[in-house]
Order: sequence, then structure tokens, then C-alpha cells
Amino acid sequence: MHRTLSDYIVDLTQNSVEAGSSVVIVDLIEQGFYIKVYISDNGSGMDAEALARARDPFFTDGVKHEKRKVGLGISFLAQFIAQCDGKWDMTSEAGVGTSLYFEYYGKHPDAPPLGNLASAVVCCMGLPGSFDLKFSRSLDGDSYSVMRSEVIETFGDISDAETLIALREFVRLSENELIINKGTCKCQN
Amino acid sequence: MSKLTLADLKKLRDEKKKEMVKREEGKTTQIIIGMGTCGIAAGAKEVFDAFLDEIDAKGLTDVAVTQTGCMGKCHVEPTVEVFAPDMPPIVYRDVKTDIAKRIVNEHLIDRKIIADHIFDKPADILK
Repeated sequence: MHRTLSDYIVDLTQNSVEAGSSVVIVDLIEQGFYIKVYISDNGSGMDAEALARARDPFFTDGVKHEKRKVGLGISFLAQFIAQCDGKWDMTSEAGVGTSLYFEYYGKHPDAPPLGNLASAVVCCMGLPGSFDLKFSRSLDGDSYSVMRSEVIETFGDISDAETLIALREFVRLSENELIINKGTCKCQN
Repeated sequence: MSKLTLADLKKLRDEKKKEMVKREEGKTTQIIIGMGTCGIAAGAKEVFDAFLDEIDAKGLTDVAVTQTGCMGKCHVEPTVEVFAPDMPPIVYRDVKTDIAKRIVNEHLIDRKIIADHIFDKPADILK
């Protein structure tokens, strides 16, 4: 199990990137006390059999990590959503991509805290590969977003520590602005 | 909508750049953090953050911080591989935030390998 929502976002986004996607979209929506996350990609996708087995912690495709026999990312998500009475779903089509969605009540006693979202966004944007990623965040209707392609266009090398530090600061400031405008972030336990 | 824009982001970066001092012209250091499910569960995201904090605090330039998926060594996560000029590539194991700071200060700045956190054999996946 991961400790924070931000950790889940990094883990699941990495799945999308490792699936060879050219475009990944991550939406974090906080409305009232409810938190919804949508992650979609145009990567390799899965056929119906692989999709069904993706929930099994003792299943992995054997391609992403040769010789490894477990794949825990989706199992962690399923367990966390079950423990806080949330909902989740994943749809996928081989060669087309995968869409994943989950939602839960942020004040549930077993809900994870938001965690360090700025760091999570930087981790997602800094994943290796030539893909675009749009991260959108909204809190009670107010929002901000950042695109990986724009960051690269503005700064060049996204693996450069200076770029990552500036991006982290940007997300922190954007996040602070949302919280100041809307009061306390409700998904922070 | 947020008032912040990418122009603000660039301004922030330019301000940071002014504070930084060139360390070694043309020589690039690379830090690769294992960020698979196992790494994240073991705290790799906090480690990633700690590297950025310390690199920022010490004003280092020419440092690339990247990530990789599961390095196949889940029992010693978070794992971090460091490529520094004129030093052998090293894979560190059990890297917590305090060790990340030591890697920046001792490995990158003082050029001393942190012997008690070396993972002795790089995973096959790294070759």
C-alpha cells in the first residue's frame, strides 16, 4: 500500500508511460469532500483477458519486467479504494490505450492524505520518454494545469534538476493559490 | 483559473539560475531513482524530493535527475544509481532522505563513495 494519494498518482501514471503512450492525461478533481482521479493514455492497452487479470497481484505481463512474477500497482489501488468505500474502474483496448478512474470520500477515516502533490507532478513529468502529459487539478471549481510539452518548450531538458526544481515550485505556488482561494484543502487529513 | 503561467515558471527558473554556481563546465552528473511500485512504497518520491532540495541548497548545476521503473531489487528500495564524472557508476540501496543528502554532499561534492549503502552488484536490468 502507498501512503498518500500522490504516491498512487505517480505509480499509476508511470504505468501509462511504461505502456509506450505518447499522450497521458491526469485529472485530479476535488469537489466538496469527494476526490476523483482520472488517468488515461494512448499506450499499448490490454485485451479483455489481460485487463481482467491486471487486478490480480500475482499477474504481470512478463514484458515490462522480465522474470518478475508480481504486479502490485493496480492491486494497491483496489485495496485502498475498498478500504475507504470508494469506486474505481479501468477500461482498456489493445493498441488503443487505457483509462482508469477512481473516487472516494476524502474524509473517510481510512482515506490516504493528499501528500506532496508538487513532488508527485514533478515525478510524473520527469519520467523518461518522449511523451506528453497534461496534469489538471481542480478544487471546488478553481483549477490549474500544466503540460509536459510546455515545460520542455520553455526550459528544454526536463531531467535537468533546475527545471524540476522550478516546476515543483510552480505547482506548489499554484496549489497554494487554490487552497488560499478555497480555504483548507479538504483531502488533507 | 490560476494566475500563474509558464512565463512565471520561466521567471522562477531564471531567478534560480542566478543563485547557482557552475560546478564543472561541460560535465554532467546523472542520478537515477528507482520509481516502480516497490520504490514508491519504500519512499522513493520523498527521496526524489530530497535530492532536489539538496541540489538546490548546494547550488549544483549540470545535474540530471531521472527515474526508472522497478530495478528488480525490491527488497533494497529505494535504489539510486549515480553517474558522476571521473567516478564509477554506483547503485545505492536503502536510500532514505538522509542518505540522499549524503549522496549529494559526499558523492557529488566531496567525490567520496558512501560505502555503507552500496548495492554490491548492479541488477542485470541496468546492464
